[in-house]
Amino acid sequence: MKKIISVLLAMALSLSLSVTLSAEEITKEQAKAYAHEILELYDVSSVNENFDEYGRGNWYALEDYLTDAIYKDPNVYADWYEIWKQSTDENSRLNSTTYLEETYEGAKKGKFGITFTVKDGEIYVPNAVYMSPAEEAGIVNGSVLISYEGIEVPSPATEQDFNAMSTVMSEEETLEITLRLPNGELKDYSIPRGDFDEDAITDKLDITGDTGYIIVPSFNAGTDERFIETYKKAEEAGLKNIIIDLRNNLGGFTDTCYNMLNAVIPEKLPTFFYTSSTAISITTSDGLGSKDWRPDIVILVNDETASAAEQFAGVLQYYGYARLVGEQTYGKAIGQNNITLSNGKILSVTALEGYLPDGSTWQNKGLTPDKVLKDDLTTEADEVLDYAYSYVDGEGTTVEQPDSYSYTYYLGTDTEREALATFAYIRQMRGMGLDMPVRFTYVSSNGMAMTVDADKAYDAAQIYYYFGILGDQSASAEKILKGAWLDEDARVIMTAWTGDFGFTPTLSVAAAKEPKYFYYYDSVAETLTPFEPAYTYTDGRLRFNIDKGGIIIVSPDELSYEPTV
Amino acid sequence: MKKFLSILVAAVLLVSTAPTAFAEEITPEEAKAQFIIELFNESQKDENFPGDVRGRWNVLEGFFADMFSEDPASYDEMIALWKGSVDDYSYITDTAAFDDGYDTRRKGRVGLQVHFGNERYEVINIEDNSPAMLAGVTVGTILLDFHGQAFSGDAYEDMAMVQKLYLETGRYEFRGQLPDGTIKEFSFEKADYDTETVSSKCVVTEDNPTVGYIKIPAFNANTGDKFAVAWKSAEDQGVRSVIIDLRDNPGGYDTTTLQMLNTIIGQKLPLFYYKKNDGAVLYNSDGTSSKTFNPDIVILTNGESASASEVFTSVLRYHGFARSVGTKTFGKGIGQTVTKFNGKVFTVTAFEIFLPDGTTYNLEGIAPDVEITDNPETEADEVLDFAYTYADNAGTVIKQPSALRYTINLEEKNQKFPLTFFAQAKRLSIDAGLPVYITFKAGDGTKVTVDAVKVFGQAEDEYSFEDMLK
Repeated sequence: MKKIISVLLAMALSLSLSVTLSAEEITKEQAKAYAHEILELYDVSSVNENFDEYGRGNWYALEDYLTDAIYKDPNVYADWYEIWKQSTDENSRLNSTTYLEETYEGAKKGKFGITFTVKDGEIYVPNAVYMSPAEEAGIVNGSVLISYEGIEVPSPATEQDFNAMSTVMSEEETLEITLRLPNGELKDYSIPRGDFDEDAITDKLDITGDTGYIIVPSFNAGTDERFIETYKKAEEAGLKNIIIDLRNNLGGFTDTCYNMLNAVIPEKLPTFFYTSSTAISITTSDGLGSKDWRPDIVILVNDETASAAEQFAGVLQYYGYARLVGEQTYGKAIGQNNITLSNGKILSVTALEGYLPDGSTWQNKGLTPDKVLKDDLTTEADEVLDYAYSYVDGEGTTVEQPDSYSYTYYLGTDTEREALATFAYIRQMRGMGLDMPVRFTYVSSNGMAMTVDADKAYDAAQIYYYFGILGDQSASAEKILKGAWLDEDARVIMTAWTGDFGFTPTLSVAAAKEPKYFYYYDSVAETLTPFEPAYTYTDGRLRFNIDKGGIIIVSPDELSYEPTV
Repeated sequence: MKKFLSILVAAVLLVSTAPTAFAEEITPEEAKAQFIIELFNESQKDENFPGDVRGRWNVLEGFFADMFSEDPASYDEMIALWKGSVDDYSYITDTAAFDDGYDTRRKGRVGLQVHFGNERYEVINIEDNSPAMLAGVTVGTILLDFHGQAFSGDAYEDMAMVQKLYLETGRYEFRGQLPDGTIKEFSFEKADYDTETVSSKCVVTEDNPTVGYIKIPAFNANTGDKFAVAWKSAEDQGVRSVIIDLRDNPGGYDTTTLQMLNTIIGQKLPLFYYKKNDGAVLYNSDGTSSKTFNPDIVILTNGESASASEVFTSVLRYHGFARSVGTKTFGKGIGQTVTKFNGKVFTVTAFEIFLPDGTTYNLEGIAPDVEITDNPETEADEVLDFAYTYADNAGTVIKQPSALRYTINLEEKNQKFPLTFFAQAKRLSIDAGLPVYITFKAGDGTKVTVDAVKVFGQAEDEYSFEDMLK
């Protein structure tokens, strides 16, 4: 944290420092220090960029400078872009102006409907898009591209080869390709461009006995409506089991995912939450899903089931509404904001991290299916789907309705702060019908936790809060005080917030014996101030309410303390 | 406003737009430069996002490092670019110089500042209680030699010579020409002193036993505590009027100003607010000072009373605690934030100051109740003399209002105020135990008054005038 202080002063003080460098050589380290200073300077100044009357420093001051630099050497542009790129994750990137429509519309015009990815030195075809010319041409999932338009794919294939292929293909009207099928056979395909809508597959309900089968290829805008309609048809048909196929579903809009979960979940439950740089935003199910119809749900997943698809499958698996069959999923629990720049290009920047209500995440891990099973690509049969038909048991799940929406968040650092915005969002959701208390439990590195009621935190109107419990400091204070005068069974809890909360969060700590005495300890004045909070003690864990932070000592025995002068 | 959409998608679909393709596109360089900046600015919003790394300006560190290493002059260019984009009150200095400026306890200094101009080397500033002042040097004194050595006429060389000799000897020894033309020998050594012992004194003369006099030369870090001592002493001495001399006071810390206003004001009152790019910050008095001591206050001002001095004067006048005499003040109603970093200090203009009714004295200054100019030809201090006759010993009794009221003039009708502004107003309301009413006034005269606590309860991200009319 930088210290920011305000001054009111007419003139610059005595001597304003000269900032010129001598013309002689400077070391790399000096240059680095200067660079850092420049950045700091501009960062600080850009805080004021909208304060117009007194023109002030901001990054835009560099515009002319950069203009010149790029004019002299156009590579400078690429350099700067590359520097930016290196600082982001692989999901952050710059896209064309038509990126959003192209990516998140199921309806495609004049496309082949085939997807390629570079994998293990080969250009690999994970799947043909549903309803597309590629599917019609009989593309077999898991094939490898051998040649296109008479051009042989080098081995091993690289990102450059992929880009070259994209360029050639983008100009063809009919795609002539040779694939090596999973069974080793080589096969030529001729795929024309065509108009199609991959999401139309979701309209179909394939009924076998008591079991319905629904394919969801994406979480595009509109997929939710299609799914909900098909899901209703299944209810009307009185089916006992539903198989939802999310294989090769790479995700899409978060809203689509919420709406689909609401259609499936009959109870009001916390579903997941996102963290961003500014706030935690929560999602809940609205409890409007049918309570009279509870089918057994089996979801098919594979290593290309990603992102929003993982969220959908993950939440249903978390509560036991669904079981998963297939492969470990992709493992992407982070989301991007799409920002349209003034030149129309769209910047996707990683800005959200998603978690299940207990604070766990599938990021980089994926979801583990209840039954791990891999489709044998060399056979015609769909072993995963076949297994699912035998796996369904007709037994739906009921989850006990909780009396609050509770979320657990593991703090990145014990002094991480929570912004007002988190609680403001919840207050806004109240206006939209959110009607149960919302509680956040912030867990510090040492396992101690603080639970707060979101509405009470909002009413206390602090701009931000520290809900952490200082792990190392609590431990070392405990050690020192125990060596001096503190009872062996006592515990010391140092909160990251030392003032009044304005409401009463609940602290939760492990304690070997039931503590009955509670004190605030002022380490400067060396005084103990007793207080009597409401508390519970179960399973070796003490939970009690506090209204202000500080150094708190809990003890099974009454403590008295004489300052050592 | 930019449109934000949240998505969760894993990998590229069909043919992705490879970013390198843009680098090859031929567009005007200016568009590209603009674009880069926008790119980095947007990405910066996510810099606190834990876990994954993302775009931010700091990644350019290596780039700038290389650039400055290859071409040291480019550093100056960057500074100049920044300097060109800020106002005169924004500047860079080093931490030590900054601390020196705001801490009145000087250690081992002579306490004068010489401007090495093209034609003459003139004393432009002398600190109170400094060896230079005690030796009788006055502002405007011109240095004719130094340690017996004649000046070469080259300002840079002469400055280096003065610095060198001063460092070696710790002494200033020179022939100086005073403003009245007389030439005098000066000789003094560096010493420890406090520029501000005067702030802790309330002087009561035999001629005017009911009037106390307190001089405040600056609003430094420790001035607030000193003023509290002086104010207490005024009360103890039983005076019924206090003259506060703010002439030549250039200002200082806003926290000091607030502390001094709280020393005087016994009620909970709206004091002033800062208008920032993202809303405003409201200030009120805490109402904890003595309600029994309510003297008549006369403030002395001149054209060099600036900034914090003007806040102090205008707020006391606004509520009727004080009247002012002298000449019109400097007229600086803007403030700077200070960031200490890497041994240096960046001071950047960041807010405008307004009285609770939304008025400002910026650029105009505060006209005194009675305009009196000091006659430099006479020994007498005409302004102070007048103040003694002007002080009426009647005292001031200000009633505690039932609410804290502020008026904010909107720059444009759809100007937005963030939720945090109202959160801050609610904290103010909780702490003061009073409602906070804010009147937003548009340029066309239409206005709306809102209860800040109620607006906060509605929990939108931000509010505009139109929102509040509803």
